[in-house]
This record gives sequence, structure tokens and C-alpha cells, in this order.
Amino acid sequence: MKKNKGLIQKLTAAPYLVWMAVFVIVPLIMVAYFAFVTDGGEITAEYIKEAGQYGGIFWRSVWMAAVATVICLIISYPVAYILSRMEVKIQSTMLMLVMLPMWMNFLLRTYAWMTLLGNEGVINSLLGLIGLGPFKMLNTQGAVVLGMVYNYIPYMILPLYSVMVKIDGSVLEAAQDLGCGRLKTVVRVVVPLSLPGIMSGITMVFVPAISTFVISRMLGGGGNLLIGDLIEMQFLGNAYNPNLGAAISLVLMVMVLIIMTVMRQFDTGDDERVLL
Amino acid sequence: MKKLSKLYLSLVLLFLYIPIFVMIVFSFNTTKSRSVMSGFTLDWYVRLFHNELILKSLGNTIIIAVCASVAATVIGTLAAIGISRMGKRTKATVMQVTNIPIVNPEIVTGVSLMLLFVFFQARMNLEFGYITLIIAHITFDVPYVVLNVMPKFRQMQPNIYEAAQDLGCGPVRSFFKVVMPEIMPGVLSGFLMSFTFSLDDFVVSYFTSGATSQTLPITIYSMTRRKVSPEINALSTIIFVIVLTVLIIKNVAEKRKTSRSRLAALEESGRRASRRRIIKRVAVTAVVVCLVAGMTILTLGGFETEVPEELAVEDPDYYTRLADKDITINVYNWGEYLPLGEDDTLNLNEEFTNLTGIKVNYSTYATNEELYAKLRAGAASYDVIIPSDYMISRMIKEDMLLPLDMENIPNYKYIMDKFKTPEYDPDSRYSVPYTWGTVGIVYNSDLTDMDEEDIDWDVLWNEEYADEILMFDNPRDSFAIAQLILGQSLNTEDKRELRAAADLLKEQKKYVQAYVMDEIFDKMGAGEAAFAPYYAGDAVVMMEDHENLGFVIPESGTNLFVDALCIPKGAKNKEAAEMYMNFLCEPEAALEIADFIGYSTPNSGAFEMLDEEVQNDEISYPDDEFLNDKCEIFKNLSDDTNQYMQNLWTEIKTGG
Repeated sequence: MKKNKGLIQKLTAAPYLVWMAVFVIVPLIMVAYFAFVTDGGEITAEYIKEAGQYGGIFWRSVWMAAVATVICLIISYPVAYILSRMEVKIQSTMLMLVMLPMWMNFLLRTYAWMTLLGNEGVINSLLGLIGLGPFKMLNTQGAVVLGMVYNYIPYMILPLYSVMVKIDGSVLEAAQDLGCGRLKTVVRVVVPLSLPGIMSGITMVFVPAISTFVISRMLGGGGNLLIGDLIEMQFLGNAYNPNLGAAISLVLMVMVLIIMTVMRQFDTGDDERVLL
Repeated sequence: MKKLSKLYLSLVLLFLYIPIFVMIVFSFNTTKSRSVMSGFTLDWYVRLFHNELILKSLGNTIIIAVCASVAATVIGTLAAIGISRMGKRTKATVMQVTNIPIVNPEIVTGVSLMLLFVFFQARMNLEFGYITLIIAHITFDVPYVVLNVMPKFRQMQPNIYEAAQDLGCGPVRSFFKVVMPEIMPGVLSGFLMSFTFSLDDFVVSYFTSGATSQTLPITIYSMTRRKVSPEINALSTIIFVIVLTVLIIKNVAEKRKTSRSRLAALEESGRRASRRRIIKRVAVTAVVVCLVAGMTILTLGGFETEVPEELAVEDPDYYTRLADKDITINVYNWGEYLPLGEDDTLNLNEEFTNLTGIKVNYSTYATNEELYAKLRAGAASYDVIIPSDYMISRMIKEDMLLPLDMENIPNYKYIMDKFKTPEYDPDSRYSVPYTWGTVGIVYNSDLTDMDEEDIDWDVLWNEEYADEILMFDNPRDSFAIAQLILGQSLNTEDKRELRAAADLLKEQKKYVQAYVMDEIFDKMGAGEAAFAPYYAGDAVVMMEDHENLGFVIPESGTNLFVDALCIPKGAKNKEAAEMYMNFLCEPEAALEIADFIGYSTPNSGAFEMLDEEVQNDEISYPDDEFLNDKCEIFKNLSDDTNQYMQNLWTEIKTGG
């Protein structure tokens, strides 16, 4: 009787399991199928090889996403630290201020950057007033990295803040009492304690950055393509070739998987492990 | 130190808020320009409530977000109940699967679902639209619900459910009486997160939406590819102000609480570092804001009671025969290629609906290749499409078009003879010419002193104008320019010639500021570039708005193109589609079109109504001699050549 009840309860998960099987597992299998099987039904490694030809783009995407992630980390770390040491009353207000921009559609915010960065844009016009420029900013790799930093930086600040706010102020005082300078306190105490936050921040910025296709198109002028653009081109864009697109998607997926696995080695989170 | 941190925080906040500030400022701009502030107006806010496209996609977004998040909450909560009873190993496996949509790059999720839906579409008649979007949204929402509800089960006393039953509750009753209240906070935050994700999702929706169901982010995306209408800025400003107000109210209310409980709350909120936490914090506000904003806008929009102008048609009776069938046709057209009531033009789709009772679902693409990909991918079913010459013959060859019943298109008689039985459709069985034109070079006279007659294709390779040159973002048009310089035929199948053209285009890349299609309106309009090759009709429109822009059709020759109305295979309402085509061939409608989009009309009725000045305009209506001697029409290339050109193009775009 009791066993029976357990079974019924387990069965409530059935719709979910079916759903995930049909709409998560099967589609991924289809991606793999398209990547390895031609329209005629033959198994081939041709598409993967062809995807290999775009090694340059893969490398560029990894590089640009990495640069954006590092910049995010460098900017966010002091922000999170300052926030976490602020008066509690102000903390939540400041936190809201940081989150608020995420409320605007990211396409529109990125478009606004086009207005700012253009040759005739706001920044160059202002510089022109003091006799500088115009500088070419839009349609460069720098602009794409800027777009990534801008769009994903809240995903770095928040996890960092979340771990730092847990660091008890008395721990820092103790370090200073024991002879650590300000800087040394940060390096020896704050950084190690905030490592889980750093790690989750890095994954949360890097993964979307490496696979974006809109930011590079809008700010990169169509000449600084990333993996995401390449995939989009194969499915809905100028170079219709779903098999190749599937092959590139597969490679991207594997890359992200490897990165996630590496990052998880650093993850010390307790209940997080069960969840994520 | 304190000061330094304050300064640093302010700088970061400045960085975060600059674009939003820009957006708000330009929502009050009197012109559509996004670089020059020319005056203050509230016009865009008024127009927002009359912009059907924006309001409709906002409605779609809300409907889909509500459906998906409710379904995800139910499925996810049930799942959490079951999973919490599972053995350790099974649980771990299930949780792995749960994580897939969260850690997988969004674009892979989108693409994989698209492949699945295409498969179902071919076999089970599934149509891309609300259904596919809702399924896709549930798929990426449901893991968040599971992850939010699961911890509540862990925190719950394991035996209270049994205790309730021992005390006489039935299993169902004890679930609702005892378990439900315990897990409710998790269920709620799961629901709110799902809802917010759905509202803002672009990538997955982009790959899974069909012709009928564009969401707001998708509409915004297609706008960013031409010109973002300030109405969208107005909408964002409204949302921003509402969010801000709600947050301030919430904050003030919270301030009243004792600092002690606030500290506890903060610590609780900082307990776990994850994206989920972040979203949760603001999710409640999100729902409120979006619902309020959405409802307000939808209601306000509903008050619109404009009396439409009448467009004279030849045979009104013809148009009424499908009136009571409640038909909707899907029209897929180039961007900026039909007057839809912008700038006080006539809204032809609305006119058509008033006349026939047939509703029109209208969406746009940027290149022939994009249209082709969308049709081949099978991601949507359309009733009317408007490809160009070479694409039409390719589609005919690949059996992608339906033959037309000319009996249903009596206005075909207005098509000029020289556009009938064209090479791309020798028997005129599949297409009705819509517009035609040539390709030339748009230039900005502020940025160049060159005389018009000196401007030829090679200016696009001129080092002097490095980074001030825009180039076509599609292979066929780009190759054509290189081929014109090299003196090749635009329809060459010779791989060495194509390779040479590709090399020339690669060489050009260092001078090119950006590869664009309709973004050219925005960029040339803003004075970002000196030269850009584009279609004559669009150039005419740009020159009307900007005095400093000019247009040259190089004497050395160019490409002549014809865009024509076709019905793709799989169209659901062929007769209504033909009626729509006939309507667009009404001389008055064709005149409206030519007037608005600036392209040349193949419709003799409309041509006769044009001003004499326009009829003799060299840009819009070059003389027949030039057209015959110097212009070449694209033909369809063999599959092999198409593929080769495609690969070369990818190489050009992705190289160095």
C-alpha cells in the first residue's frame, strides 16, 4: 500500500519527464543527427570538418567573450565589494539601481549604443566640441566587447555581491587586527571567500557572450561575425545550410560543456551542487 | 577612500544608464533622427497607441508569457513532487536533464527546437505560431520552476503529509491543505521567473516563431535592422518609469520596517549566488508592471476610431466574395516595401481588409536569401511573398511556388508588356511584377566632393573613403558589383571568375565600415558613411528626407531587378492571396506603393497617373536604351554555383 502511494507520487513527475524528453533531449539528438547525416541519409563527418574551417571564428568568439568576461569581473569586483560594505539601508537601493537597466529590452539598449558610438554619434559630437575626433568606435571589435560587457555585467555583479555580503565584517577586522593591510585583507581574505561568486559570475557572463549573435551584428557592422552569427546564417540567414549549422551548434555545445565542467571544479557551493 | 568608492560607483552607474538616458531623450525628439535632437514633442507617445504592429506584438508577448508560465508552473510543481520522492541516483539524473536548458547556449536551444518543429510540421501539420512559441517557452521556463520548488520540499517536514492523512485527510486534500502552503513561495517565485523570462526572450522565440505570432522583442529586432521607430523608445520610457515608480514605492515601504528584519531579509537574499536569485528579486514588480502597462496600452489602443480613407477599385464586387469566410492571409514582404499608414500614407493592408473582410498578417525580411531560408526551413507558411527575379526562377525550379490563376487577377492587364513573360518566369505562370529598379550608389555630399559623373563602382574601393563605405549584406548583390568592375557577366558560372570577384570583395573589406541592408536608411540618414550601393527606389526615399544625399546610377552599367508577387507552396488561402495580389495591382494602390517606397512601378495604370517630372526621372525611370544596353538582370544560377558563391561569401564575411 505504501509503496503504491510512492509510485503515484512519483508519477506526478511523468508529464515533466515526457516533456523534457520530447522537447529537450530529442531536439538535441536531432541537432546531432543533422550534423552527421546528409539529406540523403548517409553518415558523414563532412559537416564537422566544414565547421572546423571556421576555427578562426570559434577562436575569435572565445577570445572576445573571454575579454568581455574579464572586463566584467574587473569592473564588478570593486562594485560588489563597495555595495556589500555599505550601510544596509542603502544597499538594497543601490542594488535596485544596478538591476534596473535590465528591465529595458536588451536590443533597445544595444541600439542606443549605436547612437552613442557612431561617427556622428553623441560621444563623437561631444568630443568634437573640444576639438577631438571623430574616433571610429562603432563597427569595431571593441564595440562588440563593449556591448557584451554592458549587457551581461549585472550577471557578474549580483553573484559577487551575494557572496560578499555573507562575509562577516568581523572577519575583515580580525585580519586587520592580525596585521594585514587593506590590500592584503582583500587579497588574502575577501578573494578566497568570494571564489564561488567569481566562478558563477564568470559562467553567467561567458556562456551568453560566446553565443550571442545580435550584439555582434548591431555593433560589429556585419564584419565581426561570431559563432552565433554563423549558426544563425546557416538556419535563417544568407547561407542556408542547416547541416553545417547543426554541426557548428554541436561544437559550440561541447565547448560550453567543457567550460562548465572546468568551472564546476572550483565550485564549493553546498546545496548549489544539488540544484545546478 | 569613501569618496573614491562613491566616485567609482557613480561612474559604473553612469555607464549603465547612459543608453537608457539616450533612449528617453530621443523618445521626445521631433524628428526620427537618432543623433540630432531637434525639438520636444509628445507625438510618439500618441502614435504609440495607434501603432498596430507594436501593440499587436505586445499583446502576443503577454499572451504567450501568461500561457507558458502557467503551464510551466503546473508541470514543474508536479514534477518537483515526484522528483523529491525519487531515489538519489534517479534524482541526480533527472536534475542533470533539468539543467540542460539552463546551461545550454540559448541559440542551440532555439535551433534544436526549430529542427524538431520543422520535423513535426512536415508530418503532423503543426504550424509555427503560438503553439510552437508556447512550447518553446515552457521548455526553457519549466526547469526554473522545478529548481525553485525543489528546495521547499527539502525544507518541509517529511512526515506532515502522512500525519495529515493519519488525521483523516484524503491524499488529495492533505496535499492541498498541508503540502501546498509549504511549497507555495517556491511555486510563486518559479512562476514569476518564468513569466519574466518569457516576456524578455528573444533568441529562442526568433527561431520558433511563425508568420502569425511575432513577439515584441522580435518586432524590435526587425526594427533595429532598418530604423527604430521612436514609438518604441516611447514604450520603453513608459515601462522604465513604471518600473522605477514601483521600485521606489517598494523601497520606501521597506524602509519603514525595522532595520533588523531588513538585515535578515538581505542576508536571506544573498544566500545563494545565481541568476535565479537576481531575477527573483525583481520578478514580482515585473509582472505587475507588464500587466498594467500592457492592459493600459491595449485599452487605450482600442479607442482608436479613425475613419479610413477610401481607395477606388475597379470592380468592388470582385472583392466581397470571400468576405464571410473569416480568412487571414500571411504576407511576407521586404522591409519598407508597402505603405502601412506611416507618415500619413494610406494603410494598404487595412484598406484591403475593409474591402474584402480578409485579415492580413504582415511580416518582413531583409534579403532574398533570408526569404529562401525561411521557406526552406519550413518555419512558417505564407500566402504571398515578393522575391526578386533570380530567386523566383530558383523557386520555380525547386518547385516552391504555386501556379497562379490569372482569372482571379484581372488587374494583370495593367502590367506593362515589357515586364510580361520575363526570363525568370517565361510563361508568367507564377509571378505578377510588383516593382522594378536598378542598383546605384547613394552618396553623402557632405562627405565627398566628387562630381556625380565621376562616381563609379570603383569608388567603393577607394582608400580615401576607408571606413566611410557601406556594402550590401547579401552575396548576390555584392558579387554583382565586383563583377561589374571586373567586366564579368552578373550570371557567370565560371568558378575562376567568381573566385576573382570574391578576392576583390575581400580586398574591399578593409575599407568597409559595415555590411548592411535596410540599416542603410539609418546609417546614411545619420551621415555615418559617404558611399553605399543600394536600390534606386530606396535611394529616392532617402533623398526626400535628406538633402545632402544623392544617387548615381553608374554609366558603366548596373543590375536591373524586378520584384514580383508570388504564392509559395503550402499557402493556405490561395484565392485570397490572388485577391490580395489583384488589389495591389489596382492602379491607385500601385500608385500609393510607388509613391511611398520610391521604386519604379511596372503598372501602366499607375505610371500614367504619375507626374510628368517623375515619369521622366532618370533614377526611377531610366530610358529603355540604357536599360537594354547597360543593365543585366540576374538569372538563377545552378545549385553548384549558388553553393560556391554562398561559401565564398561566408569566407569574405568571416575572414580577417
